[in-house]
Amino acid sequence: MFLNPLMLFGITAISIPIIIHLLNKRQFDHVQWAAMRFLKVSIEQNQRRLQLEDLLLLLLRCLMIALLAIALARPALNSSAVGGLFGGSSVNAVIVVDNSYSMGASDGVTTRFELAKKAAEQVIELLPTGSSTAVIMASDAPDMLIPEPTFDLGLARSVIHDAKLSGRGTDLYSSLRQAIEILQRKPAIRREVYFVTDGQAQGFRQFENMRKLLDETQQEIKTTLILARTKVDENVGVSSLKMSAGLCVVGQPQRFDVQVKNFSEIEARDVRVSLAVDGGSPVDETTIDLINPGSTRSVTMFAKMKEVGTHAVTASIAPDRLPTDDSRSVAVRAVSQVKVLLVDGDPGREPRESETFFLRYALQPVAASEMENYYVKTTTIQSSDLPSAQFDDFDAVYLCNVPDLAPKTVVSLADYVKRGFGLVVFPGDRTLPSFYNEELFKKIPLLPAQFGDARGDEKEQDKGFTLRGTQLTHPIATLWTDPEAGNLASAKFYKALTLVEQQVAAGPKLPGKPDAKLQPTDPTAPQVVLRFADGTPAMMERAYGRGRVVEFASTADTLWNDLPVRPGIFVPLMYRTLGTLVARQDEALTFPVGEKLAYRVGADVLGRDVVFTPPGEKPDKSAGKIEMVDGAPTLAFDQASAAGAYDAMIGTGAEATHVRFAAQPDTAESDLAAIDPSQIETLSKSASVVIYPDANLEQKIAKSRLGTELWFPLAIAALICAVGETFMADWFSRSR
Amino acid sequence: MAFAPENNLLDSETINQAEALGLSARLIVEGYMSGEHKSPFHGFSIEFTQHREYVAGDDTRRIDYKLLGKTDRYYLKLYEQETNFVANILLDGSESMKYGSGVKGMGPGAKVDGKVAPAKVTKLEYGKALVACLSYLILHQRDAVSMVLFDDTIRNFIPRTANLSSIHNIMNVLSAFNPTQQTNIGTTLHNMAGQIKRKGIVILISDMLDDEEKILDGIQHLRFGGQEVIVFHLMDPYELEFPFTGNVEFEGLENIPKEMTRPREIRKSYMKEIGEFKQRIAYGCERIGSHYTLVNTAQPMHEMLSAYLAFRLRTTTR
Repeated sequence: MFLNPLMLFGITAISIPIIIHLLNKRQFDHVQWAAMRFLKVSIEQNQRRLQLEDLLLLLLRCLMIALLAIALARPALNSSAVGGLFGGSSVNAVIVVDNSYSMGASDGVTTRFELAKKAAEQVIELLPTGSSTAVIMASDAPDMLIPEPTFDLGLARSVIHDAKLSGRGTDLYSSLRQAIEILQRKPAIRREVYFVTDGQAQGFRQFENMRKLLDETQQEIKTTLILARTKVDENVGVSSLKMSAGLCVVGQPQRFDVQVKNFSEIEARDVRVSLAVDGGSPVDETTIDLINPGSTRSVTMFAKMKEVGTHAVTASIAPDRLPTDDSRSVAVRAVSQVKVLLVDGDPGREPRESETFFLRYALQPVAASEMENYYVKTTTIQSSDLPSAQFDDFDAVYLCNVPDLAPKTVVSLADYVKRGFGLVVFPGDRTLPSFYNEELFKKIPLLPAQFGDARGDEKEQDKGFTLRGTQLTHPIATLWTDPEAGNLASAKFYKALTLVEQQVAAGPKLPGKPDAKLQPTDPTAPQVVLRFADGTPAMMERAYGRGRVVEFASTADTLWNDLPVRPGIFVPLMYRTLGTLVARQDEALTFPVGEKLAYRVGADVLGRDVVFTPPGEKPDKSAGKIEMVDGAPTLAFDQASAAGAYDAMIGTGAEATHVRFAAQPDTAESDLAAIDPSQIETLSKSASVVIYPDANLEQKIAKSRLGTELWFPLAIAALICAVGETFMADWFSRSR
Repeated sequence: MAFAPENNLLDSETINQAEALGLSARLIVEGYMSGEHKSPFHGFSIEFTQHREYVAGDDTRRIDYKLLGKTDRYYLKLYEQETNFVANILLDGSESMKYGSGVKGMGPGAKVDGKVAPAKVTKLEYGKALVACLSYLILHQRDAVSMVLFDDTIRNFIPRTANLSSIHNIMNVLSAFNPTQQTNIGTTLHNMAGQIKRKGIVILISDMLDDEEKILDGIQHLRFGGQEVIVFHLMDPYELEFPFTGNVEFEGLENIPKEMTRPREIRKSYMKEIGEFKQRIAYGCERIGSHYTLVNTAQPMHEMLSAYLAFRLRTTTR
């Protein structure tokens, strides 16, 4: 085979010496000569010899050019027999090391990552002289430490030695594809990929794609899969930490839902869970007595935020063999007060007849004397006051039975929500569904759903319908999965407007989870919070811009339902709804490891320097500045490769402000279950599989290396021809 | 010595040197001047005149032994004055004599090894100069000269003359001589052998590029006629050394087909051929009893002639 077959066209250059030879015969000096007789005799005596010499030189020159052209075409033989004769060819390699957080699993002596690095370094030692290698750290996305093969193997060794474990999950296909693409750009007789991983099943979630890729490339690229395993029997991890929907208010106990999962095959007992704020001492602790293998237990824990601003709340369990999943952080923003604007579309004659009467008390469930000091402040206006209302003074606006809105109000409201604020819409008998459908759904997609026909009759209260109290998946409604929180189905509805639910595009089934429900692809798609017993939506919400909109099917007062007079349901529902609206902006503060932070901050910090402190590390002073992104001052960070709580200090000295955010690891990565042996068997048909450190890596690699390039001996042969031609030309042209 | 062009072939330095050395005949030549040369007709046609007493150094062959017996004294027989010898100079004017390696328009025509200096004149020009020098020398010492210019036949003939003033005529004829034909030395020599009645010297000036056997036959014919033959074999230095390099097409001067070759690679072979050729001519001449001199036309005339006359003087007995 030829690695550079285009150079074979260079063989046509042998025509050059032939042409020169023919041209030389036409180019000669003229001499008039007297002693021709003796000249003729001499020529006749030497004619044949001269012709032979000319032919020999011509052949040598043609051979030299042909050898050179063939050498440049880089011929190679796939035969180990030849390799011994001409010496081993150099290797173009890519070394891929899995640095997902499952590689942090330890057997008590060494972690999988340390083992993997050792294997990678050994691979480098085994590369022949003149080899080159690239280095990739593989997790759920490839991290190109050395993006193109380098001949500086010392650099490769050093880069691997200094590589760090990440907090990311594993999806090895993209790294494998990247490694193969690098080598496909570099023709060579020996191209090798060394893939060092722990063989976790999670990493092979695109198994079929990996198998296909290895099959297609096995002739040109030799892949060796090195499984660096340590035996880990137990692993329990904090699989979820969320702030319960609701307002996070300074000084008020805030509820956090913590889930702990036992990923191992033996039961876990007496698992102590602690909750801490901003890296401080635990503020709450609890013990889970038993978690069965493969099971998850949920606990509710509480923490108070002492100051206004962002905080990192961390739930932890005792460190085990896989430390990364033993804690999980979430970032929250504590506020001192929340301001709500209630727009009453039908004030009535009596206060109790007001659309917002119950809503106001639900949002301020304290005595009148304490309302002034309560952290939720409500302001009530009528529909006619809307054009002059300053929405920006409030965290959320509630439209209660408002018939319609002026065009300018519509635009202001849409902009208000887009900038990160909240809107709640309660219909009523004055509501003009056609207006809402046209202006707030079709023209500007604020509402999660169009209003359809009314159902029921408020006068026929004996024929009411109820909410469904099961299959509660929305964060606002999950409270009622706990029976002790109350029964949603106890509230009665007499009349409601149909919320026309749109069919959302189904997303792909999660790989490895064929039975998982289809997920919507669009995160801003409307979601159902509550359904009636017949399955139709009773409450829906959607994201709009950076804000959120909640739409109810029935009234905020008791005209169409009795929900407001069921404070056990109504108050927490209103609180959780308000909390969801207020927390919308702050959702960006918690994100999966590997993703980017883009958090809107105030204009007063624009241009200021930022110093980031990753979890467990020293502050990085070269981070950056607060800059404008999409027209707003934004705190941005794209280096969140470790799980845990981060701190961003904006500005310096006394004026410095801190923004805390959290990167959460992929829970699936905690499942250390190994790839199925049958899949290893399948992969071994197109790749070499080595169990490290059990197998002799050196032996395996040496055995798999076949073939040699022949350019060097051909170049030497061309050189010999050149030297020979020079000597012979000189010898032949001597005076004879 | 700077070599003068055709119309002024007499190099004064050459003539002076040649005049100083003189030209003496090895054999007895019938001639017109007395005292210096041996007569070739010794004991035949010369009449006895008187006796002279022998003095030391006289030729003992002239001692009258009859008178010695009668008188117990040594007396020499004196004859008529010795006849001056005639030098018949034959100059080959064939096409091949037109070659001159350093002459503009003729040579060299190709790249050459710089160690070999070219000849500044053609062989013919050199030959003409040689004829002129010899003519003058001979006429100056009151001997006679005749000149024959030939190629494939005799083109010009100047009959025997002992008059020095005839040198001008000789120059004129030489200057006008412009050959165009191939050579035929052998035939010319035979013709001359038939025509020359008196014993004398025949000087052949040629490059000898002809049938060697016929040449030697012709020389031998002359020798049979009692002539002393001197052969000046003119060769150009490039003909002697063959210093050409590169690719060369050689075009013969005497209508011989062209040949293309790489001279360096056949030089050894050529030199062998030339060497054998020279050897054949030289050996042939010596065998016949002729004097053979190889002349490199790059060598200045006065050097060559001086060397030759000195050599001749040493080897000629008195």
